[in-house]
Amino acid sequence: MFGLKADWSLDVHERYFTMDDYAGAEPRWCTGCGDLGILTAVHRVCRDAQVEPENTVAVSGIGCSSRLPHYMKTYGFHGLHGRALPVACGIKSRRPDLDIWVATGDGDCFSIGGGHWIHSLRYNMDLTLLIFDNGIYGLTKKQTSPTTPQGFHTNTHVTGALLPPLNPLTVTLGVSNVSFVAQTVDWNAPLLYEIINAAHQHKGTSFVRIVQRCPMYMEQLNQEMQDDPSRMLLLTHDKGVQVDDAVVRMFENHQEHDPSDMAAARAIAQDDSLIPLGVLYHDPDAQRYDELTNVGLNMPMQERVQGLNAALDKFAI
Amino acid sequence: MGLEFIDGNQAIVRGAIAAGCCFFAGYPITPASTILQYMLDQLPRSGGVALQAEDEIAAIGFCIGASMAGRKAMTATSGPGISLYSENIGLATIGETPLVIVDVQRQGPATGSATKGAEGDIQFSRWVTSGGLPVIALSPATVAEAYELTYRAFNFAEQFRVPVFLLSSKEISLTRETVDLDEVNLPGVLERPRMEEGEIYQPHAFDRPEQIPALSDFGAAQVTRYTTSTHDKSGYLTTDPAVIQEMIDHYAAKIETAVDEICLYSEDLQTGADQLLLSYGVTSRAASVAVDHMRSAGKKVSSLVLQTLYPVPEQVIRGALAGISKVVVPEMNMGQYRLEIDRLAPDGVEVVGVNKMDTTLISPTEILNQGDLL
Ligand SMILES: Cc1ncc(C[n+]2csc(CCOP(=O)(O)OP(=O)(O)O)c2C)c(N)n1
Ligand code: SF4
Ligand SMILES: [Mg+2]
Repeated sequence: MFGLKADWSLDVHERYFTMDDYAGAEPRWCTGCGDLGILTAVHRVCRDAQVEPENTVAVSGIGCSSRLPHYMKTYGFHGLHGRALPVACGIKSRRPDLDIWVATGDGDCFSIGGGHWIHSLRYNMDLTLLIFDNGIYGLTKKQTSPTTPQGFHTNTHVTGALLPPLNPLTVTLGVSNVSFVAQTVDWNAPLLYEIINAAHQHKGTSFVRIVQRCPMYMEQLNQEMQDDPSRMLLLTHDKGVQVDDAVVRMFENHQEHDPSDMAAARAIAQDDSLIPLGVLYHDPDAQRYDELTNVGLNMPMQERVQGLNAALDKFAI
Repeated sequence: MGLEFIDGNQAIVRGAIAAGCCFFAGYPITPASTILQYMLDQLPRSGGVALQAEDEIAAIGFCIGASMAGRKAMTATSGPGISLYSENIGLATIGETPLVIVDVQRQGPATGSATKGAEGDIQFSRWVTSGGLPVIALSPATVAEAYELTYRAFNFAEQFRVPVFLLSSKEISLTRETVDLDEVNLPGVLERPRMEEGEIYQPHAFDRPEQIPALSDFGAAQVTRYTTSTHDKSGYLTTDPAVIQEMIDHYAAKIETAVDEICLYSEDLQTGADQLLLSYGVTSRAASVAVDHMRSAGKKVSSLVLQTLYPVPEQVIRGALAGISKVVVPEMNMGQYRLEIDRLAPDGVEVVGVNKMDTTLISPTEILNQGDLL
């Protein structure tokens, strides 16, 4: 035609998704609940990655946090208490093309779901695993969770939780074949976004523990943490997540930490005087159970029929 | 103690403690969580202990361990937790472990409506674990009965060395009523049979199949073993079909031969009545209003309210059915216990269910209308 060059054409997506395209029902979390910010971050990451809503699945268990699938306009699976991960693994196993999010709470994942947590980390299927850790059972009204701080008063330990809390980072970093471990807080939106985004980009199970505010049952505790950034340690590194200087300046404590260094990651996780924020560990090459077991996924129909016939030939009819 | 204003879960805890319970383990779940909370508060005052476990499988496991260590133990949950208890209930059955299991029923299946009521675990309690052996299941209708039946559940558990269900429900457990627990008539506290000094000990010894073997608590003088696998009277593994059958017959005979002793019910039979209202649990309260209404309208009607659901009080039910042409069974499920009545009702007796599982209570009017009783 009249001098119109093909490479001048704009690369216009046929469909452009806005954040609204990922937003489902109106959230019914309490006012000021940290879950709201996490949901927004998830919507943003989806929007920025432009994943199709129909190729996205949000899987959860039971708890306040596990309501997330209802608030996503994607496929949603709101399952049993503690059992989100096996379902997510099952979906991933036969539909590797789907983008899978898992939303779970500290009780859901670390208590009743403890076994699935450990094994899913080792399976390392491609899932983005977000733990909404408010240190309490929110939905069932303030019972002790594995991460409730020692001495904190709950309805099941009225004189204070008896034991030191479980450290989800050291447990996670102790599982062989673990591939992505990060921690953030819900109230720092830029950091939250960057970490969830990095987790989403990682191919393998990305474990993100989000220290989450529950103003309903943990008001004072959360407020103290929020008001005192000196209790946090920001991990910085080229291989970690990058945030603006303004965000970096919010934290007094910084440490250069190479996320490929497992020994250093474990040392940071072990030291519970400070709450580390950032990527503790990242191994893009860890083996993936979904890849190792994806046999037959693309087998053409003719080959399937042949295989079936060969198998049936073994039986005399 | 005098008059008190307490809910069913408090009454359950009080009944357990009165019966000698000194160990409790549970995992939070609405509407059973407050049993865990009251136990955590109450048990330590009398030298017992309550533990929050990491899930329901652990909770019932703790209880089996504590019971075998000689302590009276209880756990409490709702439908989703009973599903997780299942395998351990089989373990307690084959190991002959005294244990009380409270199911504060809520609407299901699965997570269902966490804060809403139903009585949908009736046949589930009966067939809760593999093997299908008989169980004992009691169903209270009031706060006072929640107290009494929890107490009796402990006695049955000890007496027969079995897990015993208390089938409460959201409505009974979370509703407060004015009660005077001192006025509740209770039998004496029973203890499991324990081995006498100097005997040669077999953990599952019996001469007649229905006999209850003595226990030697873990940590007591006589060492003993416990196994989930088929075993003989000594607790040794066995593959001998004759021995295996003998043990199975024993587990069943313990309960089946004691039906009369276990069956608790209240009946209000009216001479000349040809209609019967048969009910249990919270719905029996609507049934009793329906009965009053019918009688004041000049109708004759009999009423049978069961506290023991399993073993099925067959003689009692057959007795109440004598001369009856229609029996109405209202239930907050889709007709589970009606299956038992169907098989017991003589030919020609019409068995009518009034059923719903929409989380709301069945009203006296619904019973009268759907049962076509007026
Ligand atoms: C098998 C089973 N046990 C117990 C429960 C009750 N339950 C629902 S959510 C929950 C804990 C929620 O805590 P968490 O996972 O920390 O989530 P949060 O509400 O704090 O976000 C419990 C115990 C259940 N639904 N199913
Ligand atoms: S109870 Fe806590 S975690 Fe649950 S919605 Fe309210 S603030 Fe959020
Ligand atoms: Mg929580």
